[in-house]
Amino acid sequence: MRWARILGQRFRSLFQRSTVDRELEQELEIHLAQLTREYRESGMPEAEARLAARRAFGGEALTREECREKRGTGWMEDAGKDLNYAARMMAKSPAFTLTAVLSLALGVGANTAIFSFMKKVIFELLPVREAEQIVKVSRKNMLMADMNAFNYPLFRDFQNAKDLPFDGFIASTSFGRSTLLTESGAEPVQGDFVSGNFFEVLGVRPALGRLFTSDDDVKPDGHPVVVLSYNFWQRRFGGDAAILNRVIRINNFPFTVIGVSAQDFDGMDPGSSPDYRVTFSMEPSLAGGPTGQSSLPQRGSWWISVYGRLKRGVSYERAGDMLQPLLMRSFELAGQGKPMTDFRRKVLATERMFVEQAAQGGGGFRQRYERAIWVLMGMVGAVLLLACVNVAHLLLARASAREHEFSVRRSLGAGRGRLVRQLLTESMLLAVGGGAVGLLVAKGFSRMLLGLLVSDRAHSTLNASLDGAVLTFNFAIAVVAGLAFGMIPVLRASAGKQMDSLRGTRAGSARRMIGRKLMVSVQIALSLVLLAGAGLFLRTLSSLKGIDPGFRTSGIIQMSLNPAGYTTERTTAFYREIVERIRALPGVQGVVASRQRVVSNSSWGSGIRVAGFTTREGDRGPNRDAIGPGYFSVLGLPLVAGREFTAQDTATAAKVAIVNESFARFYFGGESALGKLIGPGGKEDPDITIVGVVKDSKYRSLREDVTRFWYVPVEQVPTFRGGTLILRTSGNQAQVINGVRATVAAADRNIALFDIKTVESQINENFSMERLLAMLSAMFGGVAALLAGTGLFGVLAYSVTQRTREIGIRMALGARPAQAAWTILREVGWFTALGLAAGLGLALACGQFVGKMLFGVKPNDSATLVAACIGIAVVALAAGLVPARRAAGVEASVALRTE
Amino acid sequence: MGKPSELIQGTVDLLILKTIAKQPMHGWGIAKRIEALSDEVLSVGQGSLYPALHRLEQQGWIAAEWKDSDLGRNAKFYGLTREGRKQLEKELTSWRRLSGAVQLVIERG
Repeated sequence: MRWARILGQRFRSLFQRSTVDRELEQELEIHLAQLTREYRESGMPEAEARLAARRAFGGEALTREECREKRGTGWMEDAGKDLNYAARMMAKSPAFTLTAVLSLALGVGANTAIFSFMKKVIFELLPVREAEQIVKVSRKNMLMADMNAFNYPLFRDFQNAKDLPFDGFIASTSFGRSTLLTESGAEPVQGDFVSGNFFEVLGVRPALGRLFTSDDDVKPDGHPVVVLSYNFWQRRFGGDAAILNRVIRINNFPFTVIGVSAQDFDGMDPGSSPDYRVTFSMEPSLAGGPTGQSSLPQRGSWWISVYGRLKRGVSYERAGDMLQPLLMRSFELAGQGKPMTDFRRKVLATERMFVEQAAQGGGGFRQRYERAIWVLMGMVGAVLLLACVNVAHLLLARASAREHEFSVRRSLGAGRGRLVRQLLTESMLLAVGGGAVGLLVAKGFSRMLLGLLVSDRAHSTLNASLDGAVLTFNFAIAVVAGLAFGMIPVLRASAGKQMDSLRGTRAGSARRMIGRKLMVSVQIALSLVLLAGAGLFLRTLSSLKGIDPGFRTSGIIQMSLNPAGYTTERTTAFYREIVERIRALPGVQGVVASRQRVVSNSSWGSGIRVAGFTTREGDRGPNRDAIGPGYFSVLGLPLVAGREFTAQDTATAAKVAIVNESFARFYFGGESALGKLIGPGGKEDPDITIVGVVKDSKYRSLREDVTRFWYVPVEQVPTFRGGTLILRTSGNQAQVINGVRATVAAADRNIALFDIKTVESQINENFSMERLLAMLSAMFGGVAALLAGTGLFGVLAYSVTQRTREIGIRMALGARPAQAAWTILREVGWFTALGLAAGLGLALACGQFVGKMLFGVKPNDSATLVAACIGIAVVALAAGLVPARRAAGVEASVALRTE
Repeated sequence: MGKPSELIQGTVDLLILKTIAKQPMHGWGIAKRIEALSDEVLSVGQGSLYPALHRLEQQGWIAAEWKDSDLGRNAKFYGLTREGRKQLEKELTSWRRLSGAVQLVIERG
């Protein structure tokens, strides 16, 4: 209770100061009046009594002052005065204030923007109950280090096993592109399969209606209910609560909307959110179709991600060990009755279960961006440091100008602490100003980052909002920065001898300049690191852009579609029909259907059997695609031998394949591949005849090495449903796309087109991170060089002013102007060289960290480093030129007269 | 009658706390009461009285209130808070120990 009373008192003294002062006055006045009365009553005349009372009373002003002091709020009042004074000082020199606040705002804002991403992508816990218990369940073997992929029966085994140290297992998997049917047509949407207990185990609450329970995930195809994500509910249905209990059609299958998941819950991969979730029970109808196979009962399909809630106090090692027997048993059940190669047995022996913490989620989004975000954080950290050094330069220059002011104040009795407080107040005011403007910078900057980084805007839940933690971070670094650069002039001011300045001598200033020049060296070092980074990332981007994909990219558009639920016959007829009609559209030079998209990071791995060839142990095998007639001429990929697939390569015709050069060379060496027999892995007798060899090309991404590849006709793949249309166009692409939409809708209005993109924009998208890094590092590198240049210029200009007298004397003694200029340039040389040396070391050290993100250039690439050094040297020279000329122009007589 | 002795620094707090222990008093009253109780030996001048009162108030030992007074006008009355009462006990104990010790030295010396 006492502290409350004390706090109340302080509050009163601070904010009701005039009342408190008035009360004190009254109190003292009463005392004086009583004293006077006493004297009067003892018989003194009125005037005399008053005088006597005054005498006895003593110094009233002193008492009043002492009482005020006892209030213990003096320092706050001082702070108020300091603040007032600091604000006035800043208003008086707007150029200084603006420069300082803006450079600080730039540094702080950039850091805040990156931090807000970092927080969302790296640090933030999943918005679920006791997130720290959530673990990712994974397996590894001698071939693969980390696989979060399991078969569905094994997941059920986990759930049903007794005595496992888990409070539940959950599973989810994306089933990607699906079609939402509405009155207006078919729309592409993205969905996830989840286990019925998904929301229960995580402790996620509904924003509307209810979420799944285990009862919604029992009978195959028995639970046509769907939970929408908040993002999708808002985006597609405008947050209309009437959506509840309505029936929506997904892949032409009716689902009842039972609820909407919580707003902040994206899923296990924060940053992007699927549109809806259904339980695994609905997989047969949604993904399988009438002839397609359901993956649910298959122990050979490793397609779902498993997470668990680990009981408290259980180590990850123990948890993994306890899951191990279930994994081994699943392999046994899967392999029953099938022969097993020695190699397979060897791989199986190294299969291990392990769990790892997944409190922040465990998705690819984070893996993809984590390193880039750290690199960006490093860059903006360096920029902030540079900005701080620049502000310190400014403050130092000002401190020199204010030396006289401080000396006067000190000789008038201002304590050292009082002056320090004054200086710190000024720095803090700058810091807070910089922080405030920095918020605006952060806002704009994170918008820009979002635009560059996120290609799938619709499903992204990243936003440029600034929450409490980000605000705190922003002002915390602003204040730390303020303290850091604020301390420098403080140390100087408190060390300075007042008399020197009052006398007007400039002794000691030469020594002090060393600190400032070292600061310039630091700036040069940091700028070099940023410039070198910019060079590396720019070269990476240009090497990536220079990659020859092997086919002609211009004018090619890809789009995906999924006629789920079609029979094989209907699928064949459908594709034949739309390809025929699209080919007739104006602006279309060629069109073909295929299973895969090119340069989209997706592939269809396959085992292979080649007649007369024994595959080496552990060989990953080639990749494969199913393609329509004329595929290679549409892509502009030349055939080396044989023929393309034609309309005659139907389901009933002889089985044929086309292979690429790498494939032919690998399996047949010098022999011709034509006429050789191959087949998918597992089958006994290869029965597919190679009819063509095509030139090598990039397939999944431009970064990859060319892989062995084989192609089969789409019509000879009975499971072919969802696929890609590849068009070569000339002229207006928008018009062509509209034509394709209309054509597909005319064939079946329930089929949606997904991801309609030109190959060129697809490639650009694939390089979005590299482009982002190249752009930002170039930008920051430029800013850094500019900051270092201005810093250097300021120091040299000041140095010339300081040394005018010395230069004047030298001139008088016969030195030539060139020699005077040389003195200055030599100085530039020294400190630039020092900065460059330090910067090179730093750049090489940082290079190790970004090595993995580069392409076509080594982190210690000498050309890049030399170019960066030259860049800095040019900036330094430019900054040194004007001061050097000024030094050369010093007139001996004038210089000596001014002293 | 000799001049009243100036007080040792630090005992003022004790005297003030003790004086207002029975009932809240204003500054003038406190000064007068200390003089009266000490047979006019001790005098607390305003120069030490008011700063002491303000310090004790800031420390939360005493609380003030403006009330009608015997002086014919409103005056600021200081009274002990609960914590102030405890503080008074503490200061009394230490004072007794101190004065007892001084006494001993004088008697035995």
